[in-house]
Amino acid sequence: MASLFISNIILWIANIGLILTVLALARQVGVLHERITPVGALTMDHGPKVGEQAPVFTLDNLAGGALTIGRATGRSQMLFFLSPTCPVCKKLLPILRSLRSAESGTLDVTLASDGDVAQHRSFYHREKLAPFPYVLSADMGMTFRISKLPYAVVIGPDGRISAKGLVNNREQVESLLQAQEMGVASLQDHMSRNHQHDLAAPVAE
Amino acid sequence: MSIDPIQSAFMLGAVARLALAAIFALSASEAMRNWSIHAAIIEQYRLLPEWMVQSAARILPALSFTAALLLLPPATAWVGALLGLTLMVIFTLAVSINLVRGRAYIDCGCGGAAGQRLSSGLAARNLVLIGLLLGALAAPSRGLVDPGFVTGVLGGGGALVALYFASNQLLTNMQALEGLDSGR
Repeated sequence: MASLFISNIILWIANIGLILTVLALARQVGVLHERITPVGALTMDHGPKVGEQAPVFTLDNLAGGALTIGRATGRSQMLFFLSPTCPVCKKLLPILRSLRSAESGTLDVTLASDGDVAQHRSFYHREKLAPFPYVLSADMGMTFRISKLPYAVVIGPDGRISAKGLVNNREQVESLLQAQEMGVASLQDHMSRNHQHDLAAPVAE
Repeated sequence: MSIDPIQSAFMLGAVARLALAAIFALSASEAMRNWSIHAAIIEQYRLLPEWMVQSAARILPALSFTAALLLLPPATAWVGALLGLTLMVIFTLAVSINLVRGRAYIDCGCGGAAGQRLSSGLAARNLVLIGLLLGALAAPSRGLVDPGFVTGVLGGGGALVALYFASNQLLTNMQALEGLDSGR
């Protein structure tokens, strides 16, 4: 009976250990998916390319005053394209808030949309978006060829577009900033460059 | 050695209660930590008027947590199971209504795997949980008595919890994979 009991314990430990392994593997696959999804958006989109100078816009800020976007200011800018009727955009607002306070030394986060001013103004007050500049411009959306929301464009301190893509969650927002820090358009771009380097090396020698 | 049906019922009931308590507690703590995101998720379901969303985002996780606490002691287990059952029926209805509305693209807000959308798999997963809750409600409950019982309950309960989170993650991965296929 004692040996049966001990063998039972060992089996449970092994069983739970195996399930935890499956869980860890599934989680890793999930993280990989989260990392590569914005890359899909990056590779198929149009508009100004990563690395190019960003178009410059001077727009009315809903919070008051005017705001210039795309000029080299020595600080990074994130343009977050959203709409009051897009649920994922709303879900990302708290994430943008925490990002804004965490990176306040180097990054300005600007919300951008287009459409009826009154509707946006009430959205702006209802969601307490006061810390963010908020601009409305159909022209800017067209220039960046925004077709799906929420979409983020990161403009580097030099006024060049350093990353952009469709963002659906925190990981994707962070991956855009990470792409900027690494100086590559996307993680996929980074990997393919390294890969090409490997392929090119024997030819060069 | 024959199998005693009453002993088995005690054991199975305790396994279900432990697993459910852990699942409710972990999901609730996830929602409480990010409650503003949780509120946005509840709003996406478009079932509550706007003024109720903020309070629902605080009350629902609190109720889940209460259900978890009540499930553990044998004396209050049936209250916890009833509360959990009510919550799961509400959640499953909310998911089904939005599936019927064609709003499957919203974030399900099920704790653990971020960014999981609604699916029939999710509704099925909830039905399994409802089945477990019914089992916990029907089974006689008692405390932990002998080492064999403890091993069975901890092992079985732990395995169910880990399986729950693994299947959650796999559902999310499956959707991400479908997204990749249609994106190309």
